[in-house]
Amino acid sequence: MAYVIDQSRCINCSWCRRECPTDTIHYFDQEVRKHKIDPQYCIDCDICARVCPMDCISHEPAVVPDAQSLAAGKMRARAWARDRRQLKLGIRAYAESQVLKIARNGS
Amino acid sequence: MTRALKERVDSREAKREPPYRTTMELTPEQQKALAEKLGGIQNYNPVVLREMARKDRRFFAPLIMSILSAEFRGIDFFGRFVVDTEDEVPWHMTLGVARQTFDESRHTLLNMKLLEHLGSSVGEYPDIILGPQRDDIPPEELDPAILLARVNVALEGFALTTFEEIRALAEQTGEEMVAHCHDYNMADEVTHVALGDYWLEKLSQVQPWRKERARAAQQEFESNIAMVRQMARSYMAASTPSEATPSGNGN
Repeated sequence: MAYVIDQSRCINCSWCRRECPTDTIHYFDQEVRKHKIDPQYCIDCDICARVCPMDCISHEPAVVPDAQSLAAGKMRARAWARDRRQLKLGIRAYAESQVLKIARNGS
Repeated sequence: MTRALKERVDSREAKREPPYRTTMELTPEQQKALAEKLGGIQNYNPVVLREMARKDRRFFAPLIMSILSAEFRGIDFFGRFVVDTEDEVPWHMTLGVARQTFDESRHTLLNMKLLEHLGSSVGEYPDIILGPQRDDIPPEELDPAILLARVNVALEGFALTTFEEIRALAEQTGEEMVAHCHDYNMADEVTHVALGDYWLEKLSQVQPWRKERARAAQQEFESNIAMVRQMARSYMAASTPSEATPSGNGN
């Protein structure tokens, strides 16, 4: 199963593309100036549907990626999650160190 | 016959009072005071401030000022767009962008009140100016479709994520007023992206070359944002003391 974007309602805000853990939502390389999900690497994570401000992304049971692509998609998602978590923790650690520094300096 | 708007408006250079005042324009004493308040001038950016606000409510004020600064620029940009492109675009597009200018003014007022609610006021923190100034844009890039792609579609698209992240943070930390206002702002941003996308498509139907140039401008904008983020990431990784361990699970 995979998700599809209703092309007539998509406003190209790019939110889904930026959040997609498998980098399978395309825009700049599309003939039509619209966002499109490549079903081959869609892992049904539902993130795109949840962030879409137009509610124009839906689950399409008829579209089924092959097992190999699905496995590759999951690999990509794991790497994405690791990278994102590292980034989030890195920013948080830095911010906390700054707050502590300010408190120590008595500002 | 009615004269065009740009003939009727005052031709003197537009001035903002108080004027834009970036961190670079502060006096050395003011820069020192800001650095003491925030742990360094480099921390005056929404990504770091959001995490600092998670630890200490005081940092919501500079975070809101960073957003307010962008709203001021929004009024400037869309207001000028209305006047500059009036002869080139359909009148109902001008009306749409004028409505957007009004939205940005409303956001400005909302964020100014939020600052007061947080115990601060305009002037306590400087402006954050990201990206090129309007006057730095080369004339060939002043095409309405390209401007729409850069600002309405690309920039406002990023703003959606920023507002949602601030709203979620405010909700988690019990800042109900901030959460409420940013939820409200975000609804307007969705309209702005939709408006930009609609008119970009319409303008491109008449002149198809605009579509590719606009898309390239959007891609360039995103690459620049990615580059700035990567630089920030490297800086933070290099400056974080190894003993600092973040609390929470990172979700």
